[in-house]
Amino acid sequence: MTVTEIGVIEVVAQNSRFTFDEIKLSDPIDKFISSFMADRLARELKRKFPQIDTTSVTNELFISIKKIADIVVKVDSY
Amino acid sequence: MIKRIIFALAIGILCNGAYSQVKLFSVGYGKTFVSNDSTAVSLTLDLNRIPGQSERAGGYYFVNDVIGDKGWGYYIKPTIDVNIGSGISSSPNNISLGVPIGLVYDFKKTNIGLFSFYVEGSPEMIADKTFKNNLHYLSINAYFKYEFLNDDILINVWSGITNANGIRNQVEFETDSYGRITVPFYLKMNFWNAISSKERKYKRINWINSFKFNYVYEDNPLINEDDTYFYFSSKLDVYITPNFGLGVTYFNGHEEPLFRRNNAISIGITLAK
Repeated sequence: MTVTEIGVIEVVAQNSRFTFDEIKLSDPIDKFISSFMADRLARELKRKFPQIDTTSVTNELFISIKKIADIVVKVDSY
Repeated sequence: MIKRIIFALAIGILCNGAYSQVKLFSVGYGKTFVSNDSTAVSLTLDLNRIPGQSERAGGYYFVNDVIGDKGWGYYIKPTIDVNIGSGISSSPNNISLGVPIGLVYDFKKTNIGLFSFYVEGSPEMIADKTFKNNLHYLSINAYFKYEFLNDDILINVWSGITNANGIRNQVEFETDSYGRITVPFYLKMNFWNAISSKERKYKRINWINSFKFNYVYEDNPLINEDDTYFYFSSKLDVYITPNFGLGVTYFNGHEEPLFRRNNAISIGITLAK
């Protein structure tokens, strides 16, 4: 796994009831956190990856990011 | 004529498609219990809101960023809420716009779920469907948001306190001062796992409830004969597919800006993505 993949899964695990080992890159994000808390997840990602644009990530979590792997792609794009 | 306009607007919006992960548009047809307008058509449109109640968090943001690394953040987001119907008692018949600007604190994960605390100020406008009677105010809000989610159920809770101070404008009448304190409560539950024909997992039941207690301490006395009002709404959607559901909505109480009695039930369709 890449550093980004590990970091993203760590953040999702820290913001859900699931552990690191229970989260797969191919899983849908709403299995672990709902759109109701997407703003929080984006802020937690920013704390892990300071280079990202939190607002953009927040809105894409609401509109187009569907899987854990999509978050990895988004973070790697910065 | 009004029904035709509402239907045309609803169909136009629906043809554009919903883009949210959650319900964005609903069209309903139902029965009221207050006056003799026994059947009614209703339309709701919610951007960062739920019917008759500000959702405040989640959704589309102008700004969402962190302050340091201790859990604090700040945000600016637009909110739109349209609840209109063909009958006086069939819907709150209001149109709201707001731009909350706030601070948020994200608590560490606990065994019972996730908590975040929000405090914000928001310039807001809320009008009746004719725009002849409208409120303009600054709302100061503090609230907690909670989420519990596992494989079987999602629970979202939102509650706090808000204070609004501003003015009421009415066509052909003098402007009045307006002040309100509100205690809102919002509960969403999502359950009953299902798998679509394309093997996409989703939950069949989406149940959203909101309750508001309003204390209006300053207003035009002809509009507000009382000073305390309750408003309750409950919407149950049963999703046939991940994107299409049949819904039942019930609401009862008094809501801004006219505080007329609503009491109605309607059935309709909901699109989600």
